[in-house]
Amino acid sequence: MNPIERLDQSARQVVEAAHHQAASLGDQVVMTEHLLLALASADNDTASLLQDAGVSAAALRQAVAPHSGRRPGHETLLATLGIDLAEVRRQAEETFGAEGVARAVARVRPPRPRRPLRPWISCSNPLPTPRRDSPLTGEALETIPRVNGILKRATRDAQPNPATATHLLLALVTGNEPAGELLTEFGVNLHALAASTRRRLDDHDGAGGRQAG
Amino acid sequence: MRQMAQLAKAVDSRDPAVGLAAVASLRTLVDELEALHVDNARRCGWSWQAIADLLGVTRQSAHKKHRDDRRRGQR
Repeated sequence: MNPIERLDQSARQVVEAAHHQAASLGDQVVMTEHLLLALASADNDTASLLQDAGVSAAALRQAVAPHSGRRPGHETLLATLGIDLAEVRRQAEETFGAEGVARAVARVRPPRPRRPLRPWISCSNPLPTPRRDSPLTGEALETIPRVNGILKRATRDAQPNPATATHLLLALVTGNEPAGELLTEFGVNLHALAASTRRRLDDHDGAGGRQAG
Repeated sequence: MRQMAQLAKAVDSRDPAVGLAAVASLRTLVDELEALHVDNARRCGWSWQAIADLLGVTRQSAHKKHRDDRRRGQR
């Protein structure tokens, strides 16, 4: 089953924001760092938990950005062939609407990677794999398995309720993820952050229980 | 147009890695445009045969490539 269906509104917004973060950094796939950036920029508990732990969205973005988008984007590549991608996008959207374009693009299956993707740390030496974002919409098409792993763990922790953005943060912090290593580079104590995130979840559960009762 | 020239100048167009990546990029773009126009034709009530004729492929391959299955995203 698609883990997205087991996420609540806040968590879905975070996943969507992670896609935007990847696209805006010129990255081809959604990685755990993008998820962390989205959690830090989100308009909910996760941003304040990370803020209390000593990391801001702006600082995270600065740490991730230099390793991102090293490879030329679709606009640049197609410009070398004499194709004005901005104009192609404009025409397509004008004729069929942004929704129609998004629907068609979602149907195109991106090529599967021949080799496993390296973590972003190694992006200084990029592998010659095809870009996996969409030329027509400019958005990252896929998430790496690690991100899906976080979503799955979060939904498992949250059962029987849908997982919230806070569950996503807990799964990311406790999962020995590359994004967790990034946090420790900021001097964050992952155990302490996991504990405060759990406390926040317990508070919410308690409040929810009282409301229900 | 000027913006495009600037973009193109940002990379070495004679670098095979750039050229090959550009062709791969174009192929994906063509796939996406094809999907867009096939969607439109289907909405207009076109048959798979009519669509395939204009794409220059067989009816079977057009249908196989573009039928709307919702299994994408599952691994």
